[in-house]
Formats: sequence, C-alpha cells, structure tokens
Amino acid sequence: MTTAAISLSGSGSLLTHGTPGVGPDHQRLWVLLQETVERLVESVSLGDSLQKTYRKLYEVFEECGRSDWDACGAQPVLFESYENAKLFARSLPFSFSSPEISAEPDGEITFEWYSNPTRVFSVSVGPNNELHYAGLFGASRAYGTEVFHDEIPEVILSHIKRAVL
Amino acid sequence: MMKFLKSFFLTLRERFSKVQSPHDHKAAVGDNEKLTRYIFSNRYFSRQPPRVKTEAYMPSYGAVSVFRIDALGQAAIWEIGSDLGRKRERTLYARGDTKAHDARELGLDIRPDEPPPRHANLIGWPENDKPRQKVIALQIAAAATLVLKNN
Repeated sequence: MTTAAISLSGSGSLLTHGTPGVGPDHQRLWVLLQETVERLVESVSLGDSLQKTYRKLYEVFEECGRSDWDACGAQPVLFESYENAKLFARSLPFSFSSPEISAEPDGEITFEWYSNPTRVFSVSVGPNNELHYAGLFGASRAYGTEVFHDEIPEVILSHIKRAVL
Repeated sequence: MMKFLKSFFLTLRERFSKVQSPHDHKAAVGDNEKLTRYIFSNRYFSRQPPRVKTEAYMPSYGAVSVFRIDALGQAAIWEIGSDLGRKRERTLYARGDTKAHDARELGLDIRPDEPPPRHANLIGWPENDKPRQKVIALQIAAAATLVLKNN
C-alpha cells in the first residue's frame, strides 16, 4: 500500500511521494493526489508563490527553448527539463522564499537563492533525474550531485536554508 | 634626401603605431588585465540587485568567451560588444567586468583567441564535472561587476 500524502506544515513540501508504491491502487491515489495539489496551487493564498514560480519557469522555457538563445551557442531548454523543473518547484517546501529562475548554456534550468555575492545557492535541473548544485556560504563552499525522485534530497534543502537565512 | 625622409617617416609611423596599440593582444594575458563578458540574454544578469548571474560564467564547450579591455574607454568597450550584437543579430544588454586573476585563482586560464581582436577564452574547466564548474562560476560571478548598456 502507498503512503502518498499532502503536507501542509510550514516546513513540508506541497507534494511528497512518501514510500514508493506499486500497482493500480497506487496509480489511482497518485493521480487523485496530483489533482488535489493542482487545485490547491490554484487557490489564492497557498498557490501564489508556486504560481509565480510556474510563470517564471514558463518564461524561461519560452525564451530559452531554441538553440543559441544566449548568442553564445547555448543549447535549448528541453520540454523534459521544463517538466522536471515544475516537479522540483512543486516539491519545494512552501515556506521557502521564491527562487530566481534562469537557464545555463547546456540547457538546464537553474533555481537560485541569493542573499549576497558570497551567500548564494544554485541548483540545475535537466532532462534526467540528476540535480547538480553549488553554493557559497561565506568562506565555505559546497557542491555536488543528488538524484531527484519527486522528493528533494535533504542536503539540498539544508543548503537552501543556509543561503537564505 | 628622399631616402632619409622615407626612413624618418617609417620610423615615426612604427613608433606611433606602438603608442596607439601598446598591447599585443595575441600575447599572454596579464594577471591584472581587465576582461569583459558581453551579455546578450537577460537570463544572465539581474537588475535588482544589479549583478551578473552565475549562468553567465558557465562554460559552453569547455570555454567562456571574454574580451580584453585594458586601455579602452567605455565607448570603445561598448563598440566591440555592439559590433558582436550586430553580427549575431542580438541585443547587447550588459557586460560583466572582471580581472584575469579572478579566474586564475580559481584554477582557470585565459587563452587569447583572435579573431575577433581582443577575444580570449576562459579555459581549464573541470571536465564532465558540472558541480565543480558551477562553484567556479559562482565565484567569478561574485567577483564580477555588472555594467548595464544604455540602449
């Protein structure tokens, strides 16, 4: 049996997969859950920040969806990257501040939390399930790669908190 | 007499050309040389707060394209970028200024790559290691100064 759930606590994300499940029951529950989340996102107060992020994501996808969008040979942002980026945005705890969204020359979409030049954290979302990240936290630095399956890895969430708090 | 005058003028022309162009732009890049990254996408900078974004310094095919702007006035610096924009049929929005040592101290090197004149590449990026590339780009962006183009 699955344990998919909507989290409405301040620190939780809007949508979590919980324990991975299999079978038709899981599929039906998962679809139901997604529909519920979409309705929540469309609601005024809870969905405002996410709607804003979705709009920014769409702008990036539209603007950077063709080759050479930066006039320096950049690769296009693929639809798969856009979809993964939406899932990443939806998985962020809704108490987190809205990130800046952009794209990199290799076509990956970036989420950035910026406080000042030496307190900044950036995550790249591409067409596969890897999240490449790097951050500056005063004199410290962090970077690495994590796998993304619906839930954002704890190490990335803690770096976001470090960058904005 | 004519021979002397010809020789005199040739010497004078050579000296004058050295004054006009003190740098050999195919020569190695000095640590204190100013470098600029022309920005043709508004995804690569922020107006509030004004800053060059990390994405502007991420390598494409192992390099980041820059121009050597030592001894140039603002008008001449913008003219190089505008000329590039005309050739690529894009709008030049801004530029990011750094010094060569900002990149060198992060393990990169700067290789002159003409034409076009004054062009160079930031090279030596960690291969197939995007997280390390990102952390280097973050640090260059932190050292860079954004200069907006008044279109």
